[in-house]
Amino acid sequence: MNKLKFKGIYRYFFNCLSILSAAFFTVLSIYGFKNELIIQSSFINFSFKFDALSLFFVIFISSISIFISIFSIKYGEKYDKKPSLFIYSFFFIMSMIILAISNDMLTFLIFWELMSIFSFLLVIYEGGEESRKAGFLYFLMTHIGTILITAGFIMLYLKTSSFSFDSYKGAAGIMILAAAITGFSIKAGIMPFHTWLPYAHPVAPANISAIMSGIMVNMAIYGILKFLFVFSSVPAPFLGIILLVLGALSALLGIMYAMAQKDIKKLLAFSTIENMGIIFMGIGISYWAKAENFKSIEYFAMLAVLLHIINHGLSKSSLFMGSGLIDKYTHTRNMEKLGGLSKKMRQLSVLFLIGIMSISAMPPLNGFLSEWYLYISLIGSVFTGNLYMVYFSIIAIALLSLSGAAAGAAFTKLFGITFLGKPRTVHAENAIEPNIIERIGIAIPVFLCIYIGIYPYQIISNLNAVIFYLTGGTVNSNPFSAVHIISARPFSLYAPALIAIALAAVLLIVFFYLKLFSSDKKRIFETWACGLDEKNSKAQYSGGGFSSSIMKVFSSFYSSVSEINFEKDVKKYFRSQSVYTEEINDIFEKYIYIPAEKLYLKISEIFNKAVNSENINVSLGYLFLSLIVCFIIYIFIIR
Amino acid sequence: MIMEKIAELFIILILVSVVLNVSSPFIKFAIKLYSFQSLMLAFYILMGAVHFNSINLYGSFVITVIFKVILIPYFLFKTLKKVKIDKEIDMYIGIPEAVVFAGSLTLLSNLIAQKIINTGITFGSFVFTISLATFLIGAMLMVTRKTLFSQIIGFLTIDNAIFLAANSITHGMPLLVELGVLFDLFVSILILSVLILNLRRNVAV
Amino acid sequence: MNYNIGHLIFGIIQFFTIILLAPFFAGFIHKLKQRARGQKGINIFQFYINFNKLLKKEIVLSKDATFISEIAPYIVFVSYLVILLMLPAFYRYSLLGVSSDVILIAYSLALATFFMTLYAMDQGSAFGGLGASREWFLTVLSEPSLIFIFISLAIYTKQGRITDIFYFIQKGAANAFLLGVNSDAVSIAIPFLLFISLFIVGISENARIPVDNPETHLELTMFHEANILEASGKHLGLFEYGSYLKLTVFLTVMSLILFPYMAVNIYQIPLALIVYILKMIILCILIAGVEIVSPKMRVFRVPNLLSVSFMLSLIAMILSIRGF
Repeated sequence: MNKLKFKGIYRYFFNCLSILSAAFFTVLSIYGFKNELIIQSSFINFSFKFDALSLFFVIFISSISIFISIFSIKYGEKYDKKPSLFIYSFFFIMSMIILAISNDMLTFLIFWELMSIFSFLLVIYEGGEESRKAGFLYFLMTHIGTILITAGFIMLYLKTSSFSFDSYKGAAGIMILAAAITGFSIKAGIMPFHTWLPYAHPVAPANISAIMSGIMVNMAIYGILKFLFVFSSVPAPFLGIILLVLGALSALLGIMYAMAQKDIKKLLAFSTIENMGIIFMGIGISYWAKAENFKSIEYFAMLAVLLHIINHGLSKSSLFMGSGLIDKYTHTRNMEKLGGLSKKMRQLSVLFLIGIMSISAMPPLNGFLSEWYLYISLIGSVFTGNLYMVYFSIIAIALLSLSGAAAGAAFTKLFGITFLGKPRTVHAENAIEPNIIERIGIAIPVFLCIYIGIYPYQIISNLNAVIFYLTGGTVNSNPFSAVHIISARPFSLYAPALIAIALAAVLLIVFFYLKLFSSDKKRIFETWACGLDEKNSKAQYSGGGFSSSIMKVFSSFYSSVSEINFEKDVKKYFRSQSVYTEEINDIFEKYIYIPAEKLYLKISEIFNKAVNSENINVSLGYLFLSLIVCFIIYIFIIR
Repeated sequence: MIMEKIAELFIILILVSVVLNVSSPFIKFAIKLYSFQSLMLAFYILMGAVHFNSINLYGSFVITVIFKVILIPYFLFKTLKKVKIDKEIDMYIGIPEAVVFAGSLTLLSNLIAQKIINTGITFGSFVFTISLATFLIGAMLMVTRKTLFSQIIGFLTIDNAIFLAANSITHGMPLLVELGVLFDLFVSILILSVLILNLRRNVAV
Repeated sequence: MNYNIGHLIFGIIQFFTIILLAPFFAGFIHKLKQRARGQKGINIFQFYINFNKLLKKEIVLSKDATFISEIAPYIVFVSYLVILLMLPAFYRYSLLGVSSDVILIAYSLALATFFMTLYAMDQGSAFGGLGASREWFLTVLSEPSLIFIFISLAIYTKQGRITDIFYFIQKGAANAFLLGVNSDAVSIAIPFLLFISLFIVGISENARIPVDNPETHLELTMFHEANILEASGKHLGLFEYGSYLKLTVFLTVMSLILFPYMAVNIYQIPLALIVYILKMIILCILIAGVEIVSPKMRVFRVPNLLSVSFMLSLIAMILSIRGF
């Protein structure tokens, strides 16, 4: 008992420390706004600057990590045996906060690397084959990304011969942007580079998944915003279009893969890819509009990006925390084994429902708001009549609407299968309502989701500072001012407060009308189901069945292998058991990554045979040769 | 002015009929659609004829109605009755995918048309878009379908598209040329019908 | 737009008129179908009687039901009501006309679907899961066309609010066809395409025959019906009324595309109301006609139909971006 208490101390200490230092950094960044801070040491200078973008990200990171830390004060109980989790997660959060305020290349890269390393340590925290594999893939991918980002920074350094971000303003050419953005989009999990994400996010403990999915992927967005809107020299419109296309692709395929998952956390991880795709679409339009000088579209798209970062961070972190609680109290993440949790975890299910409504963009909540701004900027870019952008916007609208509806389907599946119906296994039957602290940790972001959804004007007027910093303009945050996308004429208006009031008022009227004029008798009875007597709770619709019809129509997106194994000798229709196995593969993984891996192994084997020898002189000779080649490259190419 | 709008509707209906053709596996329906499409084309030509008061276009209208609306579908129906195929069973790509692909072809043709557009087109610039889209979708039909009938329909659609483009860019071709083209088309349909029948008899397609 | 008290009053009148008319349209279609089959048919006002009856009955809740079963019927019903608050049917200034954005309308429809499917999965009946799965299957396929239809309307008229959109078309059409001025702004082809496209989407979203047949309780035809299988009493009443409202929403938008005539002041309201009801009756006859002549489709052939609708709205979109 005594020992256990001692172990709990790590949990309390480091979570409270995270909360306090996050709060400290928030206060610091608010008071130190527009100031610089340089810490000099013997060989390296750490320089920090609190500009509007950093302030936004610091507040974003700190607030969400405060919620998650509150949550993990209680949730972390089961990790007390290995308290390194809390230490790592504290440093993970700190490295991200400092990353957001760092103002020179070396500081940025050091904290970027620290963030990657701590998140890697957290991914492999639980041990076991699966987490080692995911950790390796994550480590590999994230370092390829870091190489590209570093390359971008080195090119910037060669151009400006300075480490400070201040001198990078307007210095980045197209090569630098391409390298850095590719590197950052690996971290963000954008579609061709996303393979690590659906493996790494689910294997980490839930509070860490919440941090990774709610915050860490957004750090890549931070880098991209910094490069595209601060460092970029001459805007290249086609870069914006490429980002838009990649984003639309990720949005659609991400949610399509999410629909196919059985594992709750894997579903959420794929949904992260979708939301990153939506953010990328916004960035693409905004950058394109900047290049083509369509001011209002640029501002609206940027507003959509910033709002979506907040919305996704809030709802995704709350959903990951919820999934952690499901895992903790039922010991499974497989939704085919769950069901009926809503009866056992009543409050959690309400919170989860609101999180789901927010992330699948249901109208009065915040998810819809950012998607609405994205739609508006897409329509705006159709209005510009630019020869190519018109077509890409139309395609993007189609893909965005498809992914919006598919998100509804995927999250209905998640909520319906997990929380509704009857318990499918004994795991689900034994669930209990989570602890109050855990519920509070989820409730705060969920409450903020509702608040931002219904009354976003305060947030928008605060975001205007960031929008001004990035684009040099602001959007109107007045509740009843219509948006003007391209001409001076008002185009449209979505007044969330008005809609929410209307919904509430009509709901109340209908409710009280029916209370007065209808019978209030109620009887609790068996489920009718057309009179079928279903004692077996496995006769309910399964998650796989739920999504199979949609997956059949969009079968070209998946490379799925499914087979049914019967016992051979039994009669045709009365089999005692049949085994259905289904494996859904990522098309990118199947057609790009695995062939690339095979090719790499093949080439290295050939190389190995050709080059490797046991003679040490030959090896030394290779070393010597490569040194000379380096010198030659240095002399003739760089200088 | 209102005539322009109505002409626009006719042109749109040409494209719509091709899209319906892509979306339906039934061959009888496809032939009917082809007849309808040719009728819309004929009406479009008629509107041009009234607009420019050109005898060439009137003649072209009459020939189109006789050949494309009546004769060619009649022969196709006759052949179909003998062959007894009622629908396309397997295609290289599924119907929804084909329709979405047709949509992207339409977008593409609008892009191309905007790139190479020049003035002097009878009824608005988009006639060229529509004819290009019809052309591409007809070609797609020929590529993706396996039955000879669907390929014939695709071929005829392409012909209609070219006819439409010619009529939109110039104020109608000389009557003699048009007659020659239509006669060629008619003969080729006859030959194809004979071929189908013979194939059916000998190889059992 | 400056609102005054008159706008408010007539907005409220319009709202309640549509709500009260909704079961009539559904009943009218039903009656037409039955007469065409040679049956005697129900009373046209039967659905009002049904609703009233359902309110008086007791609710039988499943023992596996959760809070979703309690709130979902209300939210489904209310989200349709809010859409109706935004729609201008015969009076230009609808109550929520300020914020009647087209994308909002499309997503509010998705909100209703979301809660209806959650309701279906709540009681743990296999039929519910089946219905929810199929409902989302249809929604996923028809949502792009729906949003494309709305956005093509927005691009065609350069307006984003549904009230402005149809007022613009109304003004443009009046100018072009009656006065003969400024005819470049209007088109026949775009509303035509959008009408057909919306008709297809409307049929699939409202559980009409080529896609679904809610009159039977066979699991083969269950889309909408399987979702509300467990509902009873006033919950069922709300769902049923909600489906009439949804039908009315689609029919109203169709009627506005077909022939936009909305009253701008008080004196035009009677005429506008009559025109509205006439248009709706014509559309009801059209839908009943389609339902009578067409057989029920196989589920996996529905994508063919919906892809055509998507393609038509895409063509309309291409036509409407022509001017830029």
